[in-house]
Amino acid sequence: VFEAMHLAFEAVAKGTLAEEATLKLEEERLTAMCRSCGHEYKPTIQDFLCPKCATADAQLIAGQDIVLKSVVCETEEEATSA
Amino acid sequence: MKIKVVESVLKANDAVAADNRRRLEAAGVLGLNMMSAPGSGKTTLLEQTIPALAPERRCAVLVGDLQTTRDAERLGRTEAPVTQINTGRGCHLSATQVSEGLGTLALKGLDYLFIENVGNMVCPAAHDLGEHLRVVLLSVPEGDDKVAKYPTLFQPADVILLTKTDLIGIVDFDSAKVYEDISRLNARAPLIELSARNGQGVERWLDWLRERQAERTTNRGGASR
Repeated sequence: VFEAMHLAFEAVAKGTLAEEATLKLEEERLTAMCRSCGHEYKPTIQDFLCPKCATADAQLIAGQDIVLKSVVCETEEEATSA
Repeated sequence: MKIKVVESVLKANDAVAADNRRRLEAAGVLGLNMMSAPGSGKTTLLEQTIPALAPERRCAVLVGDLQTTRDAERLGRTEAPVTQINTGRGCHLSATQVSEGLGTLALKGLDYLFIENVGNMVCPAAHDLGEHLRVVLLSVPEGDDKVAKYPTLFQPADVILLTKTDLIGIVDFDSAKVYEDISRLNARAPLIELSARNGQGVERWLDWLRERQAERTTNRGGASR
């Protein structure tokens, strides 16, 4: 996924203000909530068994999405003085 | 200068999906998103399901494919209202396409809306369409390793249908592997084995549909997703 994101970013940034920009990606681990006992845990994609009650009935609450966290911009002066 | 954004990329899709769900709920329609690989029997099962639920229950279908209106033509013979959505190169349906599809149907008086997604085991799983329930199909000839290979499809499923069970014994397929893999991913979804060809198990699927609709009518107002 990271490789595809970098490739796509490079393609759309070309010829725009963002051409020289770098894309920083961080991976967020999956977070699940057990529907049976309410425990929050980090499953692996192959194993959703709740570590507390051993039920595989999980609602994913984080780690499924792509979130744009922030954009860092520089003026020309900032870029040259840096 | 750092600008904080913190916005979900899928937010635009999710907002339209939530609106689709409200439209279905206002009309008392249960929306089902049917997902599987191409050729696992979504259309064939619907060809049997729609007449079997009639005349007590009325169905409509939104069917997604890259090209052709073949599925819509097949399903149109059931006399249910059917709208074909061609995605061109798109590998899944989006909430916006479903929203436009809803505009082509008279929702009042319907009980079920089946959204037959584009055959694909990856991308459809990431896009909420505004359905209430996710139906995932796995056909016997696809192989008994598919649950483990495509966990993102099976983990959030509300029901899993093992189709073409008349081929067990003809092709190599170990059902125990499927049950084992599902037990670690999703113990909530019932697994219904069926064959649209010989009719075995189809009644269990129809019962499941009737129960879900009955539940909806009794707790109207509570979103189940």
